[in-house]
Amino acid sequence: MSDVTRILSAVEQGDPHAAEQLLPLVYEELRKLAAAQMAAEAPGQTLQATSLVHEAYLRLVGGSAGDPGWDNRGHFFAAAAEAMRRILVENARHKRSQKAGHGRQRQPIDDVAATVGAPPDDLLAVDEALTKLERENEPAAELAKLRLFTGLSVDEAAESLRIPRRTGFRLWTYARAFLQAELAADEASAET
Amino acid sequence: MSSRESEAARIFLEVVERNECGQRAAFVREAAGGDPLLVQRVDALLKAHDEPNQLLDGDRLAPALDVFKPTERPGTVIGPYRLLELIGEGGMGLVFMAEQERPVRRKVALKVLKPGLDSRQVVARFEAERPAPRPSRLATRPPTSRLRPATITWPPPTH
Repeated sequence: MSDVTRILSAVEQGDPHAAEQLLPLVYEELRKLAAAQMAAEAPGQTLQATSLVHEAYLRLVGGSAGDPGWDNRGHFFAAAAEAMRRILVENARHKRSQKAGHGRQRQPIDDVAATVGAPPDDLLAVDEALTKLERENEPAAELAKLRLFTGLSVDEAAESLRIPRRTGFRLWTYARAFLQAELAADEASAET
Repeated sequence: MSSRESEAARIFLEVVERNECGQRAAFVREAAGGDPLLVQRVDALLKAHDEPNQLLDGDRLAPALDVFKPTERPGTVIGPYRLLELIGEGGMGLVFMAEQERPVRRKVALKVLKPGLDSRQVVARFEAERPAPRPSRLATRPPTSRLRPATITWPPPTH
């Protein structure tokens, strides 16, 4: 049984510390896979987050004997979504502090984060709105994280959270409107 | 969840699923039972529902994976250290041979925490690898070999 399988079982049994142990392991596997793919692919190509997360799951948990099945996969994906979110937020904060001319002293590094899909300020605004949504409606926020940061479809995200498909779509519809309302309010207050 | 927000969510979803644009306003007023703040909130959600947003609707957040590349490399200056050479990589950090430039010039082994992992808990575990006591965040421990080990958490933890 792998470390990750053991931790997933502990999460399943309600161990509150297990989910925290999962994050660094998932993070590390994603990073390794991303590095290997980037080495193999032509520059300028974007990596598919969803396939990376699936591959990380297969490598860490395995698809053969001892596979805890889709039940535990949900916790794994939730950890992956949170890992991605933190990485993106840290990266955005770092880029913004560089732009503002303070923060860490660094040499310019051209090939880092050159293809990140969103400007740092937008990404940080999404993160902030998501934090508010977590306080208002945790399930909606969980689904939004899976949808936004691991690229799962709403169907897949609902399956991974073990909720009915229709509930998943309702949660996403609400989460999306909530986030957009926050982002629009942000923009309006920035303009005045 | 605050009760007004959960009410707003319920009414909002009902309106979206009915999809009768013409009678929206009347329906919302009635469902909100005369609570003007609730009407206002439902309207805000409905307006947001109709607004496009590239970040929320596309997959622009998910594929942004090139941030996994370590940004530290020889030549990078972190605090008082200049990185010289990558000499090791662990689960949570990269170890560089680095040159300390102040207050004294000397070579150290510097462990840099990977981005995305600087939640307080991970930082605490990371810091625990270094013998106590430490007078400052940038403290080094006594030399045990030619290279002095140093640990730095940079940028400072934000979670």
